[in-house]
Amino acid sequence: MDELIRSRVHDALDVEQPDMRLRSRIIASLPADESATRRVWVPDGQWAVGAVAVLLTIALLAGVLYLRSGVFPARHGPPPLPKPVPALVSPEGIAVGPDGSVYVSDYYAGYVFRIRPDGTRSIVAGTGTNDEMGDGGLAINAAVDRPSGLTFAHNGDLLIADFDGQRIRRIDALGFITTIAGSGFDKTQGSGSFSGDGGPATSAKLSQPLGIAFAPTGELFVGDSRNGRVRRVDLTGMITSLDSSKLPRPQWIPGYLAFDAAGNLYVADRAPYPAAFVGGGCRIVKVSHKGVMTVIAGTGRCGFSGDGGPAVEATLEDPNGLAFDSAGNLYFATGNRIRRIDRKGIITTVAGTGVAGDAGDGGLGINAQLDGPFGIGIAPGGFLYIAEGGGHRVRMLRLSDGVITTVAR
Amino acid sequence: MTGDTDFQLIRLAKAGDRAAFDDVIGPLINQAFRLAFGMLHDRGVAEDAVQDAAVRAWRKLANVRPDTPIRPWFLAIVANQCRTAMRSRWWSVVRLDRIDGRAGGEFEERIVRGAALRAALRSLGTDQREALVLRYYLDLPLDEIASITGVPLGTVKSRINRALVAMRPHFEPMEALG
Repeated sequence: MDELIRSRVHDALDVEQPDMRLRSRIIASLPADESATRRVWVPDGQWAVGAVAVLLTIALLAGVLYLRSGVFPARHGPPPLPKPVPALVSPEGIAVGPDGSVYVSDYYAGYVFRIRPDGTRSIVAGTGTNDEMGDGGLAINAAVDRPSGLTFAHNGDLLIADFDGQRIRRIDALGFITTIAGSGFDKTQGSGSFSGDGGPATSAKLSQPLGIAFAPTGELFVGDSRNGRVRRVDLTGMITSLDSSKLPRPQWIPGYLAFDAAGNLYVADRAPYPAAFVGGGCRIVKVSHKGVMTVIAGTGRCGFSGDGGPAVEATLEDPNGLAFDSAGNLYFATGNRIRRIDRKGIITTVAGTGVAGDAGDGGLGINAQLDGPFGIGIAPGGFLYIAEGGGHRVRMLRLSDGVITTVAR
Repeated sequence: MTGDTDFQLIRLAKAGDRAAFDDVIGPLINQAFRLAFGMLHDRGVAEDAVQDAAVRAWRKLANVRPDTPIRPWFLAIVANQCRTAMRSRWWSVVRLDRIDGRAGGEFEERIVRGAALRAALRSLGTDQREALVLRYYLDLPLDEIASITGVPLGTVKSRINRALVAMRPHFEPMEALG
C-alpha cells in the first residue's frame, strides 16, 4: 500500500521541476555584505507580518490625523509622487535599443526597465508580479512572467521572452503589449510543453523560452530551452523547429541566441540540469543559413579551460548571453566571466576572474569580479552591457580599453 | 553530512565561503524544491520559498554545530518558509488553482487523478500535508521527519495516519475507482 501511495503522490507532484538555474541563482543571491559569520538578526516571517501590519496601521492613523489637521486639506492634497522605480533584483536579459537606451529584464521582480544614456531608469513593462495578464493594454500595466531574453525587431518593437509565461511578447511603438508566440502557461501540465509546429506561433506551446533573436530576413528565432529546440517564426507567423538531429550529442539545451552580420545564428547550448531533463553540452553552436549546425566552442563537457587556444578545444561553463561586436568577434557570458571568440576561432576571457563578487569597478574587467552574468548586449561604440543576476546590477565593459563600471542597480 | 570533508565544508561556509555553502546546500536544493512544491503547488512560489530559505540558512549557519545533520536542518527552514508563504492571502487567493484549472477537455486519466490529488492535498491541514509530502514524496524516514517538523515520532505517525484517512479515496487501487 505504501508503494501505491508513494506512486500516486509522485504522479501528482512530479508535474513541476525547478528552474534549471535555481541553484546558481540561490548562491548568487546570498547577501554579499552579510557573511555567515556575521550574526544578523532576521525577524521570523510571522513576526515580520505582524510588525508590518502594526506599522502600516500607525502610518494610516498618522496620515488621517495629518490631513485632518488642515495643513493639507483633503480636497486639495499634495500632488501624487511619481511611481518609484524599484531597484534591480535579478537582471537577466539585455537589449540595446535604437535610441541608445539599454533595456534590461528583471527575472525575479517581473519588470522590464529602460536605462537611458544619462543613467536614469524607467519601467517599460511589468507590474512587479510575475504573471501573464495585460495583453492588448499598455505594457506598463501588464504583468510579465519571469521575463528573460530581450530583442528589438527591425521596426523598433521590443520583444520579451516570458520564461515562465511560456510566451514571446511584443511591445509596439505606442507601448501596447501582445503575445506573438506561445499559447501560454499550460494549465493541464503545469510547466508548458511542446506542440504547434507547422501552425500559428500563437497556438504553439513553448517551454521556458530564454533567448530570442531576429534574423536579417525578419524571421524570429526562439531558444525553446526546456523543449530542447530552436523554434523559428516566419513572416506569416507560422512556427517550426530547426532540425538538430545531426548535432553531436549530448542533446542540446538552447538558451540565448545571436546573429552575426552574415545572418548565421549562434546558439548557447546550456549546462545540463539533471533534475529537470537530460542534455546540455556547454557549447556554442553555429547554425548556417541552410540549417547546418557546427559546434564552434566547447567540447560537450562543462568547465573552464582553453584561453588562448581554439574555442572548439576549450571547455565552457554554462553559456548564457551572446553578442557580436562590429568587428565580428563573439562575446558570451559564461560562469562568472565574459569570454570572446575572435574571427579566427581563438577564445579569450575579457572580464571576470571566475569568482563571484562585486569588486573591480573602475579597473580592468579582466581583474573584476562578476556575479551571475546572464544577458549581454553591445552598443555602438563598443560598450558591452552585462546583466548580473547575482550582483543585482548592470555593468558596462568598454571594449576599447577593457574598463568596467556599474551603470544601474 | 557527517564526514570530515563535510565538517570542513561547513566550517568554510560558516566563514563566508559561498562555494562551500553551495557544496553543502546545493545537493539539497532539489529535495527542498520538492518539499516546497508539495506544500505550495506553484513552481514560482516554491522556488522563491527555497531561495528565501537558503538565504536564511546562510545567515543561520554561524549557529550550527559542526555535527548537526544538515538535511533535516535545512529542510526544516524550507518547511517554515512554506508555512510563511501559505499564510499569505495573496498566495492563497491568486495562485491556488493555477495548475489545476481545467481549461481544456482532454485529460489523461493520470493528469486528472494528479490534479484531484493535489486538490485533496491542499484541503489537508498544513501539518498533515507537510508530513505526507515528507514521507511519500521525499521518501524520508519517520525519525528524520520528526526532526524536521520538531515534533515527537508519535505525532508524526498520527499526522500521517490522519492525512491518509482523509485522502483514502485517492489512494484506492485504480480498478476501485471505476
